Amino acid sequence: MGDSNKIRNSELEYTDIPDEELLFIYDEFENQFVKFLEEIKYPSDTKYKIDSYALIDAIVRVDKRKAYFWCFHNMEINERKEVALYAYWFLKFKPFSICDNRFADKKQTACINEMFAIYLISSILLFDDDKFAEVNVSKANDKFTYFDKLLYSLHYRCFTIDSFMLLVDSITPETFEYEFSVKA
Amino acid sequence: MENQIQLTNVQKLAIKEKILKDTDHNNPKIPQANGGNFFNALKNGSEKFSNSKIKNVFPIEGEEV
Repeated sequence: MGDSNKIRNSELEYTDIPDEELLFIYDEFENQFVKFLEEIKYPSDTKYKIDSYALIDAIVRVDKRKAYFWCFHNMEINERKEVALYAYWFLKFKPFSICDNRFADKKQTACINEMFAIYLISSILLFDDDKFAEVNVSKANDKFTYFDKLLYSLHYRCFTIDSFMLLVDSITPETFEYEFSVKA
Repeated sequence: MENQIQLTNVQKLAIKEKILKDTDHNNPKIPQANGGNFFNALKNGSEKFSNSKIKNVFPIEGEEV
């Protein structure tokens, strides 16, 4: 049974994310959020807010989860799993918001974290596989896209962190091309 | 009441060994494709986003979601 005074695995210890790394990640996400707003045509003077507590909490939680995978699964997670982790916590903590009267009371404003999460996931998919840049996807009047489906699910449904990682890891270019007859 | 499947301690410990073996993925700590820098990947991908057709399915400001 070993030394009864010693708790098994007591030597395992998480090392905090270094300050400069945390600040770097924080800035990267702020830059990506601004780029995202530009991509979807928000004016350059749009007022936004970042809940620093929520964003830093998300960054720390992803760092801890990466340590967990390293320690207990002997693996470094791939980019898809990592973006899934960030997206998961952004959906939970909702660190980003638009606080501009021009866009108040709009569903799009209320869904901005969900849309940003899909943007981050899309970016990693585009990095991961060039075929994603060639997907033939458009908005048909009577059909819903995978984006519509995903946005609805991220806004209204519940995921576990592991199911969300599996979902992001299993998206193919064809997934984006699929058309749905119902949104929900 | 009687347990219908009685295992010896040796059998129980053999199962433990098998579980540890089965769940030890023994992944060789494969680094991420770009050397482990997730944010280089994100930056690279977000640059591709601008010219991708995936962008077309994102509702622009003012569009209904």
